[in-house]
Amino acid sequence: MNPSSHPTRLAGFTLIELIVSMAVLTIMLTMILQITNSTRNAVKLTESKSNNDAIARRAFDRISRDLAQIIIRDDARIEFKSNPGNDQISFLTRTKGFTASGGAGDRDVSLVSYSILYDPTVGEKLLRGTSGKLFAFDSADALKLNASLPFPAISPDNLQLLSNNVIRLEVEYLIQGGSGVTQEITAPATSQNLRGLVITLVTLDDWARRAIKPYRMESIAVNFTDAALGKRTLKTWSLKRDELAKSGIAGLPKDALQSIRCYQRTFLIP
Amino acid sequence: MEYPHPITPTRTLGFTLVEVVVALGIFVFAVTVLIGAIPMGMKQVQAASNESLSITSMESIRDDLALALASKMATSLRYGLTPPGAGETTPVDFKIMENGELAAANETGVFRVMGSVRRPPAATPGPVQLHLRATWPANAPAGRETGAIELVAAFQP
Repeated sequence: MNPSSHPTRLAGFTLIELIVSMAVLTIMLTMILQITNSTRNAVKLTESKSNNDAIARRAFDRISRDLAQIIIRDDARIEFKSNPGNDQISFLTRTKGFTASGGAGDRDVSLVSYSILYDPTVGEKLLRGTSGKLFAFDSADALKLNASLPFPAISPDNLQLLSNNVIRLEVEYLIQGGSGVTQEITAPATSQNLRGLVITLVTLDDWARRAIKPYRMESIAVNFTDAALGKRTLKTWSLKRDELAKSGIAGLPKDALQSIRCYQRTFLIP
Repeated sequence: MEYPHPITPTRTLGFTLVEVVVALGIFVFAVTVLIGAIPMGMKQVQAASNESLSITSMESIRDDLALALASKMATSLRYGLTPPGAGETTPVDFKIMENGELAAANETGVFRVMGSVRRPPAATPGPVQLHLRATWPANAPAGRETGAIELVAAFQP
C-alpha cells in the first residue's frame, strides 16, 4: 500500500460522484422549475382575468350611468345600427351637453352613443359620443322627434375614448310586447316600449393588446358572430373564446388569445 | 514517516450520517414551506375572484326577476324564474357558470345559487322579497363549501 497516494485520492470527488450529484441536482432543478413555471402561468391567467373584469366593469358602469338618465317618451328616439361586426347605440339622456363648434351654449338633453371604431394604431376601441340637443323645431341641432326624419348625426369631435380594450360590442333589446317582455336583436324606433338593454362585450387586456398587431385585431373580432334571435350571445361567444384559446389563430400568440374574455350585462331601463 | 496523521484525512473529508440527515431535513423543510405557500396564495386569489363573480351573477338574477315582476311575466326571461303569487314562495336552485349563464345539465358550473322569492299574502301586502346565497364549488355537498355570499332584495309590488 502506498500511503502517499491516499491524500490525493481522498481530497477530491471522483468523476462518478460528481456525475451522480449533478444528475440529482438537475432532476431537482427541473422539478422546481416546472412548479414555478406552472405557478407563473396560473398567476398570469388570473391577473389577465381580473384585468379584463375591471375593463368590462368600467365600460358597463359608464353605460349604466347614461342609461339611468334615458328619456322615455313615445317620440324620444333611440337608434341601433347593426353594422357587420359591431353595433352602435344612440339614445337621448337627461345629461347636460354642449353643441359642436358654432353652437349656442349648453343643452339640457344629450344624444349619447356607444360604438366601436377601428384605429390603425391600436385596433378596435370603444367610443362614447355626446352632443347637446334642443327640443325646438327651428334650431339647427333640434331634436327631430319625428321618427321618419333622419337620426341626428354624431360628429367625430364629440367622441371620447372609453376603452382601448373592448374589441366587440353587441346589443340586444328587451321589448315590452302584448305577452310580456321578449329579447330582440333589432331596436324599436322609439324608447317607449324599451324595458332594457343586454350588452355583450369582448375584452382584451393591455398585455395581449400589445402582443397582437392592430390590423390583426379584426381577425379575432370576426369570430364573435352577431347576435341571433333565440340564441344566447354570451354562451355562443364564451364557447368560441374557449375554442380560440385552445386551438389558436394562425400567426397570433396563443397566450394572448387566452386573455380574451366575454362579458354580458343586462341594463333595466328605470 | 511522511504522513503524520493517517486517520485524520478520512475523518474530515466526509460528512457523518447525522450531518447529512440534518442538512436534508432543513432542505426538505424549506422546499415544503415554499411549495406549500403557492396553493395558499392561489386559493386566496380564486376566492376573491369567486366573490366578485358570484355577486355579478346574483345581481343578474335579481334584475331578471325585477323585469319579470314589473312586466307581469309568467316566467323570467333569462333564468326562467316564476314570480310567486300572493302568499307563495318560489325556491331558487341554480348552478351558474363563470360567465353568469345557467349551467347545462352536463355541466357542473362554478357556483350554486340557492334561495327563495317570497310574496306576502294578499291580507298583508308588502314587497316581494328575494333572498339568494351563492356558494362554491358548485358540486360541494352541504357544509363543505369553501365560500359563500348572500344577496337580499325587495321589490315594490
